[in-house]
Amino acid sequence: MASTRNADYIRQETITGVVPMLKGDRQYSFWDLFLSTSGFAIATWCYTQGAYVAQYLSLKQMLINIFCFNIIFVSIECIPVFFAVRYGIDLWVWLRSVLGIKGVAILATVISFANFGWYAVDSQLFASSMINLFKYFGIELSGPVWKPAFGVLCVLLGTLIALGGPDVIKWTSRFLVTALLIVGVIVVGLCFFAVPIGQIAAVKPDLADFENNRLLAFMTTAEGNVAFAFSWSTQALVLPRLCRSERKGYWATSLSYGVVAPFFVAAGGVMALAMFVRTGVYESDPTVMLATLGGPVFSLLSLLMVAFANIGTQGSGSYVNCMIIKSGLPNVSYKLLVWISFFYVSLLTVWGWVMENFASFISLAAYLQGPIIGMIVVDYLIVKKRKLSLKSAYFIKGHDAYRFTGGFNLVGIGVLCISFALGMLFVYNPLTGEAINRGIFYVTTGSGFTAICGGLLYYLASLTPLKKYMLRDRNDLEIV
Amino acid sequence: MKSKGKNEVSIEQMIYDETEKRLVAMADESYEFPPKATAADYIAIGALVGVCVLLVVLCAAGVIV
Repeated sequence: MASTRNADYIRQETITGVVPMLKGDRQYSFWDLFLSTSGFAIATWCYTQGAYVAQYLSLKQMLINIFCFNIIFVSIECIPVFFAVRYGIDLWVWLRSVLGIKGVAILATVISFANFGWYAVDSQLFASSMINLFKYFGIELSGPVWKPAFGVLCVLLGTLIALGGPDVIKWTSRFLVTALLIVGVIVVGLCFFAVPIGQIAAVKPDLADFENNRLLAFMTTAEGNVAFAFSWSTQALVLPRLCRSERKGYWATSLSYGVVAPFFVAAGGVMALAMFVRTGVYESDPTVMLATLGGPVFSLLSLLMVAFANIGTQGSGSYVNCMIIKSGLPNVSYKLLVWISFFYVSLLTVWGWVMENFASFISLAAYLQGPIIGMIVVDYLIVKKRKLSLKSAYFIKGHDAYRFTGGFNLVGIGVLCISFALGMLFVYNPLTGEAINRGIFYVTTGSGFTAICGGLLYYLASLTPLKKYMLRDRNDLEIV
Repeated sequence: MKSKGKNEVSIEQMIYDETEKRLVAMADESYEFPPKATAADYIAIGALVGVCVLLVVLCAAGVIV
């Protein structure tokens, strides 16, 4: 009886914990991972992002800005996924060698708590869309009462999916994502049907907010898209370990975040332009957009999109972020973390701060993740040359290469702090939206700068005597 | 309280033992890792990034408006 319980516990810790997955444990094919990740990536914040970008760019520039910046950064930040699949671990385990065990525990928790801000945005959009939808069907609901109620309902349903673990997420996603992708394509098509493409393409952006500087407008919206691409990074490092081959793991992950999510951002942008042609307002709520452009049939389509997408995202997001926290705090129960995240996201939903400060929030979160992305890519490809001491990463007795100063790899933590501060003080301030050094900002954007700076500083450190501190594992590479 | 502490230690030990067992299995020469990515994957990534950078430069330079 006890051994059965222990076996169940180990199985649970493999799937919802940090124990490495062996070949036989892996459940996901390319399509399973692609659909689960896409389910996670499609949410109504995509429309918020699309409507923001649409205001300042022509149609062609908007599409290039959305797809190209996302593809560039997602393709690069996902390269270490090859390693995650090979060894069946999430990359936060690798990060123990870059940041130290306490560095990972603190940053994993801080970043996950920041990531949960996205889910508060998600549930608030769900709530306002539901209220609007009822309104179009003649039922007036009181905002102050129903907004928090619908928001918390969305978080609760997502929590129930997360409690089911990856198997439930897999089956939920297979149905929902396929339906959502079909609906997304139909919606874009109908959008062009409701407002001729010639009129959408003819919209001239108002650049008064950018001193009529077209390049500044292009790169400021690019900053939003780079931050959007970075927002997946730490979460993108978790699910691929469930996949059965390196190639499938990489392409399923990067196509989901680099193409599917931007497709929905672009759909939001096109709809916002169509709404501008019709009403003079760049609308970001898909329910309002679709009801205005197409009437009740569109409203029902948006119900499908908004409700299912947001609930699916809540479920996958809760699973992924709780897994990130577990990589730093492995002894805390997964279920307990899921319920804590339920209360935390519900609180953020009712409070509403994140939604009111959306642009600042995504850039600030990206400033934390950027240096980590830069370091892990450089560490994987150049410094450690794709070889990690797995036994040291798990602190197996006699394998101490990653026991750094007080639990912190001072080089990694130092690089993170310097990159964050340099980006904030000298390149772009996400709190004010001011490009401080336009020369650098035009080339890298603010978030991109933190990643490039993080990677470069980490590489330079490896050329100095600090190399000895960073690479203490070279005699301990048993599993390669 | 005491028994809870004992339980936590045993769970930690259980995870440690299982992890160690799995790492030993992975270190074994007969262990089959998942199929590796190939040079074609890296070339495809490079080509994709290259095309996107080109389009971005054309937009930034005002060639595509």
